[in-house]
Amino acid sequence: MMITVRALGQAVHLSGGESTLLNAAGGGATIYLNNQQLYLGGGRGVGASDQFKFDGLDWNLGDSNFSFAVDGAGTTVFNRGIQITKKTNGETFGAFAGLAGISYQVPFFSSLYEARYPGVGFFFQKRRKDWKWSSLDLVSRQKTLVQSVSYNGHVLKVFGFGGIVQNSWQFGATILFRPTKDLSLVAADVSQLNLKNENVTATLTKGKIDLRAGFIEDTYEGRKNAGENAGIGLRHGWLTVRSDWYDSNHQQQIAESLIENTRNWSLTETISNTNQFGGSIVYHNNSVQLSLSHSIVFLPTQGYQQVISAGIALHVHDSGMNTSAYLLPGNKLKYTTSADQWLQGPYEGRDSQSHQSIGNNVIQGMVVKEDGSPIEGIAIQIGKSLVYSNSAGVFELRTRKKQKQELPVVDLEESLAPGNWQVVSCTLEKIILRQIQ
Amino acid sequence: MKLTLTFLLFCGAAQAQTISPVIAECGLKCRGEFTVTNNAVKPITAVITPYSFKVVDQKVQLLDLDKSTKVELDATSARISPQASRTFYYKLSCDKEPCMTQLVAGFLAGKTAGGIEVWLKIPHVVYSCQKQKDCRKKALH
Repeated sequence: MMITVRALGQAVHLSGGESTLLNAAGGGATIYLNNQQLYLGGGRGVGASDQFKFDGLDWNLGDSNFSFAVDGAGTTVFNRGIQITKKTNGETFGAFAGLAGISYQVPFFSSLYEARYPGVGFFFQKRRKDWKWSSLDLVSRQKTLVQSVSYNGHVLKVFGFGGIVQNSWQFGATILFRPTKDLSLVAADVSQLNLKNENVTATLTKGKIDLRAGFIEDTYEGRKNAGENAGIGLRHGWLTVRSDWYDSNHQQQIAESLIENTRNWSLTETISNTNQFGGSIVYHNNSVQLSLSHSIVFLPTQGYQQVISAGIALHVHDSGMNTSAYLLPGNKLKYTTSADQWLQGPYEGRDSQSHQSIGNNVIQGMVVKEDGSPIEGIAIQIGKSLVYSNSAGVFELRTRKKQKQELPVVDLEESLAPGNWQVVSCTLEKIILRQIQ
Repeated sequence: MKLTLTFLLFCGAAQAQTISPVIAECGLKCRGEFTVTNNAVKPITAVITPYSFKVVDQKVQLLDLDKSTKVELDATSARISPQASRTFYYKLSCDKEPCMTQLVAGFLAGKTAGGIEVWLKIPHVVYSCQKQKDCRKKALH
């Protein structure tokens, strides 16, 4: 991997965690530079990548992927080698070559393992108005030719992909139809490797009432499973009353719920026809989210099941932490816990510190063109401080201690205003610039 | 090379700059603060410009700062590190009410050698009245 790290990076993102739900443990670090992004991570296998721009092209050395997705599930090509992408207005054309294998991607790291098949591939994407076409062609031990199309209209949204994947046909499609702002119909059909899933959901929201009905059927590793659900909700201010019906594998559940929503709290109390009490409590503000819930979810091969989950998420300054635990049917306890940290690296630039007290000593001036019109974004060096002119052309430096009256210096390299500028005159109160070719 | 079936986790990450609070109510002479957050992974420069404004046909019209309004900022520009925040403190005094002021944070989103520049501008709006309570409602009526 080519590493040309001039400093520690403008920002470094560290993440790590463990999950019995996703069967993974590991971590990773991403270093963000001006035109380069480096990643090193691992847990199940090791992942590494170096993304940068060179000669008008986007380069990716190491791990890269190219994905098609529908309704949360998708097909992805993972490559360990070199990927080069050319982007123009509305079009992307890329090529990749190297080894690839099965990838492992969880919120706290991504890696590639079992890399073994050499090959070369090409991909193409084109956007035009509401349409987007994608194509992926891969020459390897097993051939892959996948095409996708999506339409993102006001009333209708469609996404579909299909083709040969590992010498076998796969396809998926999602249709969202919203004839009015109150009514929406969503239908999805996905057929991939060992999973086949079909689902349809209709939602009607009219004033304080919402109605929902859905059907889902999946076949996972040859085992078929189907379920239907319907529900009605009545909302008045912060209070919602719901009644929901679930049917799967000839078992029916009816759940009556009361939901109270406030700015920071959401409470749900549920009772089902099997005399089981459930509910959830969620608290969130900008930095803390706590949740405890007892809900009914559709699980592959098991139908609608009651699941208990608890979660805590903290985000304080540059640090974050997420922990979720699930009590699944059969009293199986699974959890996912992860943490991340942003580090500020040294970068070319000068920070200014904020002061709660506003200084009384002011050095103020204006940056204008020769015709007197203001220029925004011109950097002015006053002593050791760097300030910028605002849209009125005004620059200002406030200090608590009295400063020596120093002549402002125009710093054109740090300036935000585009183009080339020449200083015509510079006094304490007014700086006049001229734009040159 | 191998294709695999995966369940993709889509984590939306905000990459733009944000300001908070967006709206503040205070007396005719007050102190306040607002925080600008750089959610991107590159440093960015924020330039603050104070404006007066009025609402005509439910549309905001920015005006030069009224002569009866005085704004003092602890800084009118700042470089903000990646994923970092900068709090700007201000003193505001108005001679008459309703006094509606916007402290607009500008970020250069892009520029060309030809001189075209794109600025992202997000305001911190201050409504000043003799009585702070329901000042915004009174000012907009």
